Amino acid sequence: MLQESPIQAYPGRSLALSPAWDGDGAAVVFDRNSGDYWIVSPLAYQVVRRIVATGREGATELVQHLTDGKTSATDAETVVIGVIRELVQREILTDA
Amino acid sequence: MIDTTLRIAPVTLRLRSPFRSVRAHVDLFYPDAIDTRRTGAFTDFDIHIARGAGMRAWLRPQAQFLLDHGEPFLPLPAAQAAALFEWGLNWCLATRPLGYLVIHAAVVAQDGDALVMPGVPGAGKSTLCAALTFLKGWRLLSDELAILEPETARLHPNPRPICLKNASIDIVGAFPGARLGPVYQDTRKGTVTHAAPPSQSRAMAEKTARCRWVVFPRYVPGAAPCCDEIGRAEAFVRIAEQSFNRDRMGETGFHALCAMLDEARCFEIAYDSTERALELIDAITG
Repeated sequence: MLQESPIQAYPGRSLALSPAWDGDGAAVVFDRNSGDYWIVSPLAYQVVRRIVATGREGATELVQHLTDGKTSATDAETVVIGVIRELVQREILTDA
Repeated sequence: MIDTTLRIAPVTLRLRSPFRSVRAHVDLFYPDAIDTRRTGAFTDFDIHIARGAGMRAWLRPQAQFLLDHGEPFLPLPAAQAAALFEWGLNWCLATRPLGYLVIHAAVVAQDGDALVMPGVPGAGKSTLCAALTFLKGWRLLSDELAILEPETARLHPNPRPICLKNASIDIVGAFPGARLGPVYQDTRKGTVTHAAPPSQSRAMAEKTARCRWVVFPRYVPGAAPCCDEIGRAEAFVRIAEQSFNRDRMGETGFHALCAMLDEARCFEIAYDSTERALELIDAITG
């Protein structure tokens, strides 16, 4: 499970995004402060874009937003949670 | 002896040298770059190809590359003075803060649509660039540096001599219209010469182009020709690795490269001959 604390950019990061490049299967996330960049899946791109837009957001709300507000535990929610976890593991985002 | 101001788009530079070979190099490769009207104008680089000093000047003559009176790298044998100018100018364009994102890539264009070919040394991009220029009539922007303007995402020409190494010298020397300069033996890159850019490319040196295709070429002896389209995110990573100043350009460079790729299709090709490579490029850009 993700922590209850809000999801936000990893400390010290200021994230920028490439175009979504729909159809390519991947896009790029860039950290203005370090110059690091990551290739991310379209769904991970949506997660980061949401966090960039909102600054921070609770994990539940974030999952709901990306699964069109469905509240039941669906496969889609599981997938989104996995993507968020991966973004946290890659230190692009944090839930701490 | 030469002491002149050269307009080699997109920069203006002052070049001084006591070497006759440097003068001859400018006369051969930059016949229309000397612009007396620019005398007194702002110069981006003050370059001096000087004679080495001290005992070495007599025992083993050397050429020094001086930029704004500093010496950024070690001297070379005097016989390589003109080549030192080319390599030093590459270094200036790649490392000095001009506001462009600079990528290690060959660039040619047709009707304002540019084909960018990033590549590690040995990938065959200079030979392919020369083939497209001399055999297919593409306009040469550069065989070495893609110079990307962040504000417009357009590529600036820098039509300078195409640097040819080792086996590519005979290949390109046989192309119709190719004019080669002196051959430099035993350089750090092996045997090297330069091919003059066509006058048509020089005449359009101020005309920028938009990237339409990115092709990562790979010369593989004996390989069957192949072409695969790749995503722009993957192309981004590969190009970023070939950028000289991405770190310094920061977010501006990131968005510039994204904008360049946004309107481009990206491919990797492998080939075992110039003819096969040209067929693949035709299929991509046709």
